[in-house]
Amino acid sequence: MPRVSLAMMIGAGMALLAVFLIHHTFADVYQRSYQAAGRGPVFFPRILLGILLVLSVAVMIEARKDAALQVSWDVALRMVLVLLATGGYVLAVTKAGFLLASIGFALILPPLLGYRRLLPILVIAALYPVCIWYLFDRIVRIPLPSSPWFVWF
Amino acid sequence: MADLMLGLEHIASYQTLLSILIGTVVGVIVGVLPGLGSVIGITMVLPFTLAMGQMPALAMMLGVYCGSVYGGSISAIVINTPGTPQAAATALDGFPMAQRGEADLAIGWATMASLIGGLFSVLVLMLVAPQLAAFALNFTAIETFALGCFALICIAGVSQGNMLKGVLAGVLGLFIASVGLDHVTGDMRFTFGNWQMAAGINLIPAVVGLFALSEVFVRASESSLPKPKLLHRAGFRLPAMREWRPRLGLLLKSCAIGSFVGALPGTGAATSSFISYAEARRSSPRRNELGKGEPDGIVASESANNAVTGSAMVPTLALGIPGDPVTAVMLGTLIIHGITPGPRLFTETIDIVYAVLLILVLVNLVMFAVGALGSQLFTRALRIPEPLLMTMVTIIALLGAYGVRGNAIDLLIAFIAGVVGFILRKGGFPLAPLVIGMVLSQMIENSLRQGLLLTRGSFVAFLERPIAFALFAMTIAILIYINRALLIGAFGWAGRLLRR
Amino acid sequence: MKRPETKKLAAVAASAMALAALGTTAHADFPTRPVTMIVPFAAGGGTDITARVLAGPMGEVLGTEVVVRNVAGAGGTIGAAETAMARSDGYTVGLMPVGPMTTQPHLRSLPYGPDSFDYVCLAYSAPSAIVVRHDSPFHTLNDLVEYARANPGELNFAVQAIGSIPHVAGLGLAAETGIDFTFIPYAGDGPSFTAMLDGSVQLFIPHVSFLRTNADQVRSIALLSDERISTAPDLVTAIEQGVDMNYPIWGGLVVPRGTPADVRDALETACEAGVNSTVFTERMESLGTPVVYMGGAEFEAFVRAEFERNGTLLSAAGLMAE
Repeated sequence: MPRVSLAMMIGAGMALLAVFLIHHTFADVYQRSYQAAGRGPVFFPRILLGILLVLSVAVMIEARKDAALQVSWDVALRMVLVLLATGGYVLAVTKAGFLLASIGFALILPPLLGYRRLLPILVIAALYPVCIWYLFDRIVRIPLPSSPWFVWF
Repeated sequence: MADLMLGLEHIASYQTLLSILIGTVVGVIVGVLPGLGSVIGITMVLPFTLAMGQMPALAMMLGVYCGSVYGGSISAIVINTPGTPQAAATALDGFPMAQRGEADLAIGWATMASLIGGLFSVLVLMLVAPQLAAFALNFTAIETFALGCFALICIAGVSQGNMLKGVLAGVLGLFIASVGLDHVTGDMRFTFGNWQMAAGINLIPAVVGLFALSEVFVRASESSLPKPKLLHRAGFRLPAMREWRPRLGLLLKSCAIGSFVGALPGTGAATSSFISYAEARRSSPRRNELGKGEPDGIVASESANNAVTGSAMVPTLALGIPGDPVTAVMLGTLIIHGITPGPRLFTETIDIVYAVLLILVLVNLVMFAVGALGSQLFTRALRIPEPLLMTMVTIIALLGAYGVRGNAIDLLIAFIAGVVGFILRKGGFPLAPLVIGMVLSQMIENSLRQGLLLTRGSFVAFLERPIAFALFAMTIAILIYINRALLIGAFGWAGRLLRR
Repeated sequence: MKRPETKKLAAVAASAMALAALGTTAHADFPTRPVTMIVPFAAGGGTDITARVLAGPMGEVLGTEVVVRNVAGAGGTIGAAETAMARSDGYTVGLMPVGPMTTQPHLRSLPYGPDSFDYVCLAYSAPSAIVVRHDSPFHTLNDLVEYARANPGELNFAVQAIGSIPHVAGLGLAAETGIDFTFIPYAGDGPSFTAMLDGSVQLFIPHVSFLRTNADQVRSIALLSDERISTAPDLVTAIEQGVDMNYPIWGGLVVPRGTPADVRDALETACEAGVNSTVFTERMESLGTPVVYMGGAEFEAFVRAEFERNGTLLSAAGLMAE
């Protein structure tokens, strides 16, 4: 871990992003634009990115005396797991359907957040996704992503 | 008077009354659930309304609409996750109140303010709808741009503690909303050749990520697990009359802001609640307490966003112009059922207008009752162990992110917004300005460029229009006022430099 | 104003029964579960309502439910792509309108084109019209052209988007008559209408049904169709005024390419019955447009011709993607 504050890192990240995107606004695709009253598609974003760059640098200056970011290993590990679980859930919804993915997620997330009582977890995982899926997909007919393996969900 | 009786007759059927009840209950529930909002609520009831008669269909739509705008405040207060973007400003003071153990009282303030805001806007719709609609037509692209710039000042109003970080978040929000299709030229921006990104970054998935998902990540990152539980008072408590008295001026002002902003096509409840909150921060005698759990913040935000509901019907009914996707659907419903909106509605078939007014009054009263009874349930939801509750919220919120457009990439957008929101929160950046930026971005950019097309590229012509000029002048004046300390310092420094 | 509900219901039931008799022909194996109809716009819009009205009687004929699924975004292209990439088993059909089918694929690179689909039927088609404010001095195309010649650079023309059909039509009009417009994009009919009422723009091109619902505030100066329409016979076409403009706004059902022929035929039978059902004709009547239907083969030829024509117009305007 570098010995800088999180605000400093965010400022630096934003500044890099702004520089990259400002550079990107000069790409060829934006120069062939059709009609613009003299102002093309990147006119407004370029102003915003310019301001963003200035503000990020200002945030970095302001943050130079902030305390350095400290992360303990167990918190970092738990964070990574929770992020993986949520990201995996998002992917699973599109690949395995809403119902199956949600049941899986309801089994995994509570223990990661420090809740270990098995019975409530099982009850919630068994009932909650099914109820929601039934309400939306079946009753009010807002179709949710379905799995490739089953016809109904 | 005869027209009023005729209007009463229109709605005096058990189908209509039942529709009001069901619509409002559904509206409050989708409002409470993060990610689900007006749009999904309307989608849910739409198939049913197609099979209904004219008045019941309209009643159900209005119930869902008003209910959802109010419902968002409850989750903003109880779990610091605004149920809808419109309630993002409510969380600023609502959640700190809940943390003090006064969730029941905070909901009381929000419910009462919503009721008054809603009824106020019905009054506006009844008394001055044609005049207000005519005035709204003064708002061409140029005035809309000026109003958008004025509304941006709210970013300063909701950036507690750190102005610099707040403004950065706001500009980031403005930028994020510009990703995707450029409406004016039809070009793709910052999509890097990905056709799915052409749909852009929608507000709902972003809000789901920024608030609901980032809340999960923040809890996961807190080292002391499990957390000591706060003592929440469950239920519903109305603030005492003497608490209201010093806030009446604020309440009226917020209602007026909401009603006015709502009548302008293309602006909505989220904009009005932020403007109103920022105004409270500027002028309230208790402004130093705002952001720490001061009822003024809840009153300003909630009365303004519910005051939009009635006045949004002004351009819809009086001109046939829908102000947002929700009123567009309502307009469609009206037309299907043979009502032709437009100026003649107010002269020839005023009974229909009265029926709408009466429905709105009933919806607001039902909304109050649903809030009062429902909050017994919602506040008790906090007794569910937090990890389980957060899992449930995450699942429903992601469903909402998906359901708004039925677009799988919105799930990914919500997740990324969650990570970004988490990092920003940890770095001390406020998130409300980011939402303001996203809400205002397209309004500001499109109206600016439409205005430039209208004036054939001249910025000076923007200043020749009186309303626009007044708004620009107010914007600059308030900016100077907010930064007066900074400016005085700068002048002093320049003066010393000159004297030397 | 209130319709007798029971009568309406009875009519629906009667037509459904008649249709059910028609539909029970050969395809015993399709469908065995609900069919999803993708609508590429948000719920509650004009296309969505039409789709939902069509879905009812279609379901009756197919003997299963037809569920409308809204996949909105990027001018309808997300929903069209989703349809093109769905399994070609007939359980996913798309109600695809003119924009995503015939203009968007020209404007940028998309993962689908006219070859990505098998064609089921055309469900509706109605002309668009050039409209002005009711107090406008323009009564005919000629008034407009004369004014534009006398005051070059003054007319503002609201369009839904650059490269949309109204924009292409406006470009065509300008080229043919030698005048010019400033095209200003507003996000749809509502904002365009606002801009016309507040005086920002002088004209725009909506669907002909817009005239019916806003009859007090707008007036048509030219119907962009080869012939007058039966539901509004007093609207004068552009061709009668000497300008060849024919820009229908249509939509039809498509399935992913490779769908079995008998499944596609079953859907076509259901679609034809749906389009001619009482509820659907009532819907068209409320929009002020005649009922129009084409079978799969005819629809495919029609889409391909429109695709070619719009491509030519867009590239002539310098709007084609590389």
